[in-house]
Amino acid sequence: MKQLYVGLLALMMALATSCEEDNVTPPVEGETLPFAVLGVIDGAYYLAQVEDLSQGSLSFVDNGTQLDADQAARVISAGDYYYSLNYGTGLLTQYAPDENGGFDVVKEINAGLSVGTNRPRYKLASENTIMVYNVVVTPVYHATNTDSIIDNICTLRLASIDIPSLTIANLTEFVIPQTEEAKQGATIGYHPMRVDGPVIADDKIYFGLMHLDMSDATIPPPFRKPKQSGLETLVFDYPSLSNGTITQSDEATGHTGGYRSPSMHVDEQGDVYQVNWFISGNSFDLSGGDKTVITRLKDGAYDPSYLFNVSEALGLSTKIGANGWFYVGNGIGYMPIYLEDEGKYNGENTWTVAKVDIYNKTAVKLDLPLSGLFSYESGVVSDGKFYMAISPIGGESYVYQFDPEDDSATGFAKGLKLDGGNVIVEGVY
Amino acid sequence: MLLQTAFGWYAVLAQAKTNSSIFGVVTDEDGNPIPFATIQVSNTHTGTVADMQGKYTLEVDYTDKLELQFSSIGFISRTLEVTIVTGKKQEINMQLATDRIAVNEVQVNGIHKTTQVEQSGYAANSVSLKEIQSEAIDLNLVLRQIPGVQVRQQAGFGSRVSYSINGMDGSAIRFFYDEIPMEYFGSSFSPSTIPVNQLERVDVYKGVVPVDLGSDALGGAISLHSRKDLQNTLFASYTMGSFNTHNASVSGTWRDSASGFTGKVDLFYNYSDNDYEVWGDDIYVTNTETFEVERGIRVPRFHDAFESASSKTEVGFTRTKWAEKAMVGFLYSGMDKEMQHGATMEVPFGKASYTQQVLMPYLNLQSTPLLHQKLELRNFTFYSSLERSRVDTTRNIYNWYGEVEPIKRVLGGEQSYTLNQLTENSVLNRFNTTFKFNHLHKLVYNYVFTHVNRTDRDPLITQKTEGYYAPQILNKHVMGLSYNSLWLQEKLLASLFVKYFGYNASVKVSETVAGVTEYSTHHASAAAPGYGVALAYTASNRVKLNFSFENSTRLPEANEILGDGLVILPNKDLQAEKSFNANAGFDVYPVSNAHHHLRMTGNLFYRNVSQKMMLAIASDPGVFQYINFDNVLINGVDGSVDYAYKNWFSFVQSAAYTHPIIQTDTDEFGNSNGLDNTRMPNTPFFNANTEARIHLNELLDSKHRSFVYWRFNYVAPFYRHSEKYGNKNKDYIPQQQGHNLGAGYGFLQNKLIFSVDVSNIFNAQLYDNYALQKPGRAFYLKINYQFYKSN
Repeated sequence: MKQLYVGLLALMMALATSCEEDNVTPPVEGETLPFAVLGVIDGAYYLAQVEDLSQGSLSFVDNGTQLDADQAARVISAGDYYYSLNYGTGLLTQYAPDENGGFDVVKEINAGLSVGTNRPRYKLASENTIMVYNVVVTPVYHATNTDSIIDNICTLRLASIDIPSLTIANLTEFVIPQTEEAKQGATIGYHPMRVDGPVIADDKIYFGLMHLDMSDATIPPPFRKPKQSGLETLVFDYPSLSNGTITQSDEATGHTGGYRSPSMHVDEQGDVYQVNWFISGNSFDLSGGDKTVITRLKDGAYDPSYLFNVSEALGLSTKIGANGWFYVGNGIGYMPIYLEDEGKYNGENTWTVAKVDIYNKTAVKLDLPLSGLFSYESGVVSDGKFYMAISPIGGESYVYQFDPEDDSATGFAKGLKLDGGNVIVEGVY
Repeated sequence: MLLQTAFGWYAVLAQAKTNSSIFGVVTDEDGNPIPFATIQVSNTHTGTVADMQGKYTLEVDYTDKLELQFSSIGFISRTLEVTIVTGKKQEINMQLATDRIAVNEVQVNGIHKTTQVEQSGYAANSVSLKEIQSEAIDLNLVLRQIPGVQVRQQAGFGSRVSYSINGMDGSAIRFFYDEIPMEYFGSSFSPSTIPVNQLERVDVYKGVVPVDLGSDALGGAISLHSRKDLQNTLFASYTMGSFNTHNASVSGTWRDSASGFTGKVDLFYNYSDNDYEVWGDDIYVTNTETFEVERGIRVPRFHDAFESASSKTEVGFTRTKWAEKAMVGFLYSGMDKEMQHGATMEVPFGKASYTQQVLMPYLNLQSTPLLHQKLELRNFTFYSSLERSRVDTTRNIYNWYGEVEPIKRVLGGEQSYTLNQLTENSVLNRFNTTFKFNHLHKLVYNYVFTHVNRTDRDPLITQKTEGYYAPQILNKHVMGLSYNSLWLQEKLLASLFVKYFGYNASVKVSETVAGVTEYSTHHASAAAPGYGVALAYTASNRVKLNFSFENSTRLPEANEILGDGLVILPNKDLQAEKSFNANAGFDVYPVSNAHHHLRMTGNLFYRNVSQKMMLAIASDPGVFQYINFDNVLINGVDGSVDYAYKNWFSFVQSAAYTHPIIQTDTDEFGNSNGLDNTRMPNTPFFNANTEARIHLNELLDSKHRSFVYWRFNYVAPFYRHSEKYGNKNKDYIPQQQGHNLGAGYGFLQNKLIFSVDVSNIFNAQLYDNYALQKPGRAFYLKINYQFYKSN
């Protein structure tokens, strides 16, 4: 027994040593940041470095740094660092790549507390700014009949965080204005319940909005009873975060904040392009047509002179849906699309990717294997190419390299091989 | 060949016709029955073995005097001269005195008369709590000492505790209180709250469970036995200790021996602030100007108080001519618990709490032996009304200094914004009967029916349809039939059993179509058979071998099939979880003489679990649902070495190694499973326990009972997630080394016993779960007083 104890002690000491954090080495100036891949298996999140996305293989077996994730970890990359938000504690941690394919903690702040929640959402809004936000809807009850909700107050808390210093630059609380329609009892009763996907263009910051019928809390978000018609975007002056207004468009219907992938991008001209997100047949008001569109915002408002109907441009026999897209440059982007005829939007191989050209308003569905991209998070643009992971359920998983110069449906190549199976790759960075 | 021998021997016994008989009960000094005591006519081969209740019947064909010898392990044998009256039945009750030396031998592992459980062929450990009733410890510490048992406590007193036996955990482990399933007793009346001095012993069955314990105990059963005092007694204890901990307990029994009228009361009260210090990387505060984080602070917990109380009273008749037991009782228990944090310590709470109350009237009937002592009938019925309330509405945000941060939540709720109230009304009926063909063969039948009707409500959910309020119903049937027999000159004890598990449920399901949510009720049902064998072979006085297997089933629990009304959706298609469990073990006494006693036990185990239920993310993110997913293969070994020197020193070392391997090649979506053929994450795989004890009164020949003990618990470190993936910053649960030291001293003919216990004497950071620190060093003083005890 004693020998067993001694053996185990040695084992434990080895384990304890390996679990200690190594000394942090700041990234060397001038060196290019390696790519990173975020993998999730069985509720644990691992981030691993990789030098080349276009070839070779990457496995998380005995590889990668585990990210603290109370419920989930959300990762973004900017400059020399990676950032991970612990969804559940609200801590935002800055990481630098180490020399062994992993990452070291540089700094952490309690971003969640700054906006009054342990479960904030966040996005990179510009190369020097991370926005952290939290929207809460509180019902307003009738003065005498306390069972009756007469209104909902939608309060947004915003923190803008300077990077790479990871310091809070501005904190704002804002009550999102809503129309009379939005109030309880109206024919179409919906309320803003989430903002997401912020981008900064010139002196404005744009937030997409998600609306829900807040009267029924028994159905969990985000698919309670959306009954939205039209598109709404919340705009503030930046960096003051003042003069919050809602800009509206009737060109299509849907949420405008994306889900995990970004909904909005700023092109080289400083214009904002936004995709809408709806699931047809899921109680959206689609009387204006079942269409995934890209709209343009300029000077804090929807630009009525621009509309790109992606559904129409693709010309597929099935209806489609999208909840975000990635922009490469020169008007070219890649958009994960849900093919309705293939099955359910989540948990099945029902998604592929479309190459979109926002200037020429053309779109082509790529001949990729179908996969589940509902909650896909991040792609990378490097040397003019776009990279994202495609992981078909029950199939092999690769990072694919997309060539913006190639207009065909086969304008892509298999790159880095991934673990596959239920090692879900949420994004490459 | 074996069979032939056995039948031949049986035939000889069957021919021994007679019309005179002797019957009675063999008890210890306290009146507790001695199961399996041997009653033998001296210098002959005629004899019998008492049953579990110490009762025996001996048919004799002698016409004159004979000498009866009564004996049992751990007791001093006695002989008695009896005059036989032909054709008459004579009652002879015998009380045996404890054999101090033998008892000390077995007390080493608390075996005591509990050996009968361990030698019944099942992989079982039985711990007599008699010796430790006066110690200032709780039952979880006792369970932790049993080889193969893992107790994982989230925090301090009253916190959530999970148990595993040989690698199977959660709902696969069932608890029983006097053989009644405890699922509906509520957490206020549980192994964490019931004082050790209100219990007599605890039996742990690993993987293979006798039919008397009527539940779908897939991985094993932990069976608590209350004290069975039949004389008049009144005793009380009071413990006070660190973290403002107080436990009080009063128990009394009064019996009128003429009429058999019996009254019994057990009361307890527990309170603790649980304000022990926590420290390390998981404990941090935030500067509310820069929002920078300072980790590694050392703070007391500030919102973790726990209070529970229970009263169990029963009146009726015992050992009368017309009934062995006819008692009507009422159990009340309740608790109030503050919640200090969620799944890890990182985010402290300052207001969230929950309460729970159970009201349970019950009726406990047991027949006198019928049909010439061959048939016994027992029936237990309860109705239970359980209310559970959660309150979590504060907008305050607390930090680890217990301060309210200047920033408020916009929406209340530290864990989730709720005022959820759950009402669970249950009815349980257990019918148990034993038919003894003779002292070698008996049949046991056991049937437990439970009906659960559950409703929940939450005023914070603002719009509900009628369907929302519809009660959810779960009916369960668990039946078992066992044939127990002795063979090969009583060297082989064989139990063969079959079981039946079935349930039907009404499940409330919501569906949103075109923006309108409809609630409807669906019906679900499933049934499955189970079977198994337990064999115990006594190779010699010093060597006993056990073998058992069971093909078992666990039915879905209410929460698993009905959902929790919050974030867990119902799943009407959920299937029962199944497992094939097997054990092979030995129990040997290599040395047993006047000075040294050595006992060694070992058990190899195998579990093959299929359709294991697990919580998975449902179709919509943020919502969960139980599904049938993992297959798990578990192998392992556990064992113990007990040593005693004379009657004053004892030492026990036990250890268990478990190797649970996931055997699921594709996940629920059809992806190949990266965890296939890897060890189950978040599962301890090696633990060891040491206990040394000195009875100073025996050493110094004093009449004052006095003892000191030391207990050491070791758990090897293990990863929270898969061991396969990642190589840096991996969450792991560090090794645990917990030391406990205690002593006691008796006054006034040992009616008054003081004991002290120092737990976690080195103030180590102890964790059973990731980032959930357990209490540091703590001191407890316990006073036990026996007010009355009749002779």
